[in-house]
Amino acid sequence: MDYRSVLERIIEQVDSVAYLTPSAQVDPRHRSVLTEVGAMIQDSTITPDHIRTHIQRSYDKGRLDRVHYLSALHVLAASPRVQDWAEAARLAGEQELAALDHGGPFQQTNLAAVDRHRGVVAYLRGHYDNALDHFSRALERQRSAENLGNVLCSLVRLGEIDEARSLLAQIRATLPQALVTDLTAMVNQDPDLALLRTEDA
Amino acid sequence: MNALFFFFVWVLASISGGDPCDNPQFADAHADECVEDVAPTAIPKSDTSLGDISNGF
Repeated sequence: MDYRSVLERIIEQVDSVAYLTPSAQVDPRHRSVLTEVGAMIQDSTITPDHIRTHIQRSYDKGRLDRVHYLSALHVLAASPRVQDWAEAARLAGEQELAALDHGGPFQQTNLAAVDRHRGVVAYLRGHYDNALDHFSRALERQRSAENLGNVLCSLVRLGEIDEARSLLAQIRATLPQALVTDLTAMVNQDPDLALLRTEDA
Repeated sequence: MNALFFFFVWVLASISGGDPCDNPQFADAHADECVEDVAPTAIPKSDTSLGDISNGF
């Protein structure tokens, strides 16, 4: 038996699970399509080309606006099976212009997604200090468990464990219970955040 | 005699899964090899792991 190929398959599975693509925060008009795209990215039997075609068709049919079309293409480009960093970074820039032109009540949420996308590219390339900068901006624009979790992941990667614990304690004491509950679930599931787990959490 | 003693310390530690440097005598005699571990300031990612990061749309 070729154990190396088995190991690579296991790592690929773990990595696919590790790359999360939530859509709960998105404008409800686009949520169902993006939930579909997220599920396709997690499914190793569906090729990236097929997912790209699905995103394009959804945009052509008006099921996605330009901001979310570019966001979906970025999330696919940065996914473990594609890892096209230049394309992922280019799409984030294009998405920012589209979000600024589009405006509207979701503009801050849309710009937070751009900051998050840039942070993810930096994080996955190992530039954790730069990632922290982007994730902090995303958090300023959109206070969500996802953005908080990414900030904590970056702090842990930078070895700032005490800072991360202190931030988590502050979040638990001051932010809304629903957000704290979501974040606690994230800390308990994410191996990157294992150092922040507490017995009472 | 000393060499034989250290060899047994090393074998015993290897079998039990322990570190021979935990033995003070062995550590004194092999100061170059038994350098104290220093905790890394950051946790590096492996080449294969992409991390548990969230890239919501």
